[in-house]
Amino acid sequence: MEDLIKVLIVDDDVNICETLQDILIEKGGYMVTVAHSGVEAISLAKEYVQDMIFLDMRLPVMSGLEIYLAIREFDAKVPVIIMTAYQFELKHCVDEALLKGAQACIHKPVDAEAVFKVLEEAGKNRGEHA
Amino acid sequence: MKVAHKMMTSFFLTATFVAILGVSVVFHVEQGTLKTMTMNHLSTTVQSRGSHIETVVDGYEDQVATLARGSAFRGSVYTDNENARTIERAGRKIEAIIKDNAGIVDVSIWNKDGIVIASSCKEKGSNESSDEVFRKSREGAYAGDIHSSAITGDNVLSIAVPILLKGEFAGVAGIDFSADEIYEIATNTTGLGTTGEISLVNRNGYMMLCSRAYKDYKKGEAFEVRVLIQPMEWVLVAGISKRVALVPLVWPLKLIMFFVVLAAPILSGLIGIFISVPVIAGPLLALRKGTAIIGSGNLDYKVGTDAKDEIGELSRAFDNMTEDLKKVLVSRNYVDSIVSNMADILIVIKPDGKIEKVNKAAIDNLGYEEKDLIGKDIRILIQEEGASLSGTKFEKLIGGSTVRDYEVDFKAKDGSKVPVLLSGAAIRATGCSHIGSAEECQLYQDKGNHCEDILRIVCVAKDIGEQKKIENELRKEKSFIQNLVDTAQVIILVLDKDGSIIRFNPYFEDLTGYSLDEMRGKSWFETFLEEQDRGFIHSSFLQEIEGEETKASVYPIVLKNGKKIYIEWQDKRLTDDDGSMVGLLAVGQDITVRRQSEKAVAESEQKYRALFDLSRDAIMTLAPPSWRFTSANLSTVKLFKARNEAEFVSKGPWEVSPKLQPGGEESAIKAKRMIEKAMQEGKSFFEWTHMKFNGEVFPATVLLSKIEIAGQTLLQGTVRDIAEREKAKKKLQDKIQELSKTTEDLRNTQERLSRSEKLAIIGKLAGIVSHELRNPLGVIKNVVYFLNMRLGKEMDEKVKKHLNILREEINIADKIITNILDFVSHSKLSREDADIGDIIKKAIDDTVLQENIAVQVDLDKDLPKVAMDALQVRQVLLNLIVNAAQAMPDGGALKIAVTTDGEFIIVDVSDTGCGIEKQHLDTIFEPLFSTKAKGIGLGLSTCSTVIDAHNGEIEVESEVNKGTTFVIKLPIQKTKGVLKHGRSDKSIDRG
Repeated sequence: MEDLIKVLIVDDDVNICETLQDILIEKGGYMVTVAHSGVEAISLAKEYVQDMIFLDMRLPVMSGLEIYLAIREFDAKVPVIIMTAYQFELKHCVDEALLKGAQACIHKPVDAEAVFKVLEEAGKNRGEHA
Repeated sequence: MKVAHKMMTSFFLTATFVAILGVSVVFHVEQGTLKTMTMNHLSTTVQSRGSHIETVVDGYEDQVATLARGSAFRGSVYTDNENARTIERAGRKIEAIIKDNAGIVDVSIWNKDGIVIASSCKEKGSNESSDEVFRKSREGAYAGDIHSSAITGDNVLSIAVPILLKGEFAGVAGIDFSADEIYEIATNTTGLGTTGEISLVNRNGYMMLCSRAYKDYKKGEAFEVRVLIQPMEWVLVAGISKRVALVPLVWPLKLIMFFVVLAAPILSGLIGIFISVPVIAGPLLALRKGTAIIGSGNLDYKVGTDAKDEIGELSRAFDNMTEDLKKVLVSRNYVDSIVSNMADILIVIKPDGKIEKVNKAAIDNLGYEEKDLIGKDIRILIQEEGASLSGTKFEKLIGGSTVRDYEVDFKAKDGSKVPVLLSGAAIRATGCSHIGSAEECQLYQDKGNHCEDILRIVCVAKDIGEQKKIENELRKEKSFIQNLVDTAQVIILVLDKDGSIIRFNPYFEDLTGYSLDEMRGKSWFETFLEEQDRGFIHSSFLQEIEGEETKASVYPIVLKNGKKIYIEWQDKRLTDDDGSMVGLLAVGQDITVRRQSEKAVAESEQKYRALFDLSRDAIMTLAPPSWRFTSANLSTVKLFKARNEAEFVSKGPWEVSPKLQPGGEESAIKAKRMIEKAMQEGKSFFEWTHMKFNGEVFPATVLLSKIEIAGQTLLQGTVRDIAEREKAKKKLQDKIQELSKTTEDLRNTQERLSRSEKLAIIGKLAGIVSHELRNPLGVIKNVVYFLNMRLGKEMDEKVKKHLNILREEINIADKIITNILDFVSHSKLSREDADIGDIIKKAIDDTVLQENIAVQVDLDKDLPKVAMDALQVRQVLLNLIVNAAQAMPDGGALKIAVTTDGEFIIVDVSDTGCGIEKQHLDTIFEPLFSTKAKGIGLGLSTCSTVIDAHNGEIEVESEVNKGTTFVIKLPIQKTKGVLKHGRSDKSIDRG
């Protein structure tokens, strides 16, 4: 159990979340939770410490940046990968998030391979951090 | 008897009566006067006589009384013996008396016992105690009536007086006087005329004395006066015969009567002539005349006069009566004029069916003469001889029914048919109201007509021949008009006073799309006019209703489909027979087309005007017959250096030329010649020497053209100063060149701009779409990944194949999206020095090429680094490589060579594929051009854009089935920064 990597995927699109979730579960070794809104994400992140958070930048109500900053308030360590759809719009948000400690950004649509790549990297880093 | 006669008679009678009355009055008055006179006279006479007699008698009485008192007599009446002596004495006295008085006849003395003791005549001792004289005288003096003495026979008057002894009656003394004296007095008829009569009558009416002058006086009337003589109570009567008394009157009376009898007729005649006739008879005659006239049926005749008298009143009353009668009755004139003037045929039929009377119209319309119809059976007008009327309305009519508007044909004299509308009714006997049989009816008894018997049948027949003709014509007319209205290709519209639609014709229905049924009664203004027009048109409509003349007006109407068309209207008020407005008839022409063509004409005129005015050629017009200029444009004014058009116009061409033309001909003559040539041949073109207003002479070419404007034939002249021409030409050409270059540039820029605008929009759209597509695509990709994971090794071939297909297709879709996005997002380039070789390598690595494609990369040595957006350039190369690969499905060789010429880096990407057809070579860089089934065609366009943005070039060479080579040139500029987007600044360099 301890070995399961806890991943939180935050996106308002249900299908994106579920497909990624299923893929990770199928791969094995991951415990994946999903959140579809900022509020959900923050409460989940608070309750269960995550090993990795995949955060969509473009969410209704609370923007990705707001959610990131909110999470960072109670968890300064958790690696956050921001998922961005646009290349140029919201770039400043992405830049800011990255500046404020977001781990990396991957472009949407997020494909499974990119996710695995990122997790590998992070795993390496986790090893270092832990 | 005539009034005049009456009047005369009455006057005569009146006059006579009056005369008679007058006369008798006069007569009576006279008579009265006479009578009075006579009576007075008589009375006087009688009175005097009477008193005379009285006096006489008194005297006698005195005489006697004296004797009685005398001793002689007294002594005689003693009763003793001595008496004898006294008696003797008395007797002697008596004898003495008688001897002395001739008038005394007898004297007697009686003693108290009435015995005559002494007397002259009487026997002594006779007892006369019962004698009236004795008896009466016992009381006092007594005068007896005159009587005839028994002794002597003479008329005597006895007077007796009592003898008193010591106051006691002792005897009576009496004297019989002769009545002659009295007789004389009494019977003196002097002054009484021949008929005068006096008589003395005693108290018993017994005549004592009488004059008896006129024997027969008692037979006639007489005036009498009586006087009473006391104490004897005698009456002295004096009388005169009236007739005789009145004799003085008779003759005057007779005269008067004569004159009256003479004058009365004359006067009455005069009155008759001068008064009765004019005053009475005349008006009355007039009245009589009037009655005759009025009675004959002329109730309009007036007899009234202004006279204030009763006749005048009568005449006026007459007129009132006739007026009233007029109201009640119909004067015969009136009836006659109706009957004779009425246009319809009037026939009066007797109950047996024979015609009694026809009016003028009957005669005129049917051609018969009166004698042809009167008395004949009515059948002659209706049917063939002998035919029966039974069952027809005619039979009913003659039977007494009322017939109305019965259409029948009368037969005219000439046999033609006269169609008529016949109405008739029976006039029935009236005057009795009894119920019962004829025999019980009094009227029948009297006149032979029972109540309600038919007296006559009156028929009125209206000749409807004309009417029928007219009806027919009207019908034809109506259907003709209806046809017109239905088929006319103009709008026929009728509005009522309030502007509501009464009707319109089918043409309007077709034109507007509204049917009459749906529009009837609706407001014209609200339905068909635009809002801004309503007020004005409504007010002019109201003016038209008021009766103001209207001109044709034009205004637009809105059709059912909302379109607007222009109509030219002509309106007319529709009035009924008494002139009040019923509605408005509007006829309209759709002039939308005409307007448009008018507009077009106006525009073309404007254009012409503009051309004329603005033309750089000097254009002018010349008009016959003088061939002077009638107009000139600005260029003319300028060319000839005139002050204005007005100055130029109305000069002739020879006036703006030197006197002589080159060649010696006079300008005026040559000009006319040229003008005639132009008029004949339509145009003439020649060289000419003109003179400007400032005297400057210049060579020119003149073109005269015959033109027609508004029905007038004119010449249009175009003058060109040749000297200026060449200069201007050269200048112009230069200017043109300049202008066309500028124009070209402008056009290109415009093209580019609009193209890039278009592209920008498309791009933006494409970008957004693609972006959105990316997400679902990503999810699908992940699903495939998951399925692969899950199904893993146990997948059967088919499933595997299908998953692969999925993955491939997803990639294709992704690539398309990427292409689009790349195409769209060429706006920002970030420039950094990059090694082209690296980029190429990366690009090749990124592509998965078929194994049957040989890839060769030749890089020049010492290739400089170039400032470029590595990512985008890589994308370009990727595109080209992919294209090349796709051009060689059966394999081939892909060669990429990079060289430099010092200014540019030149990259050749060539393949040995199917090549590009020549016609496509120009357009392959256009967006959306693709020969590929699965391509959008943005790849090369993107490449082109990117290379352009780098200020580079991309070109293509190709040969079908041999291969294609793309050549990219990138300038070697090491400048950093962000390039502008688009190609806006490239065009000039391209040149």
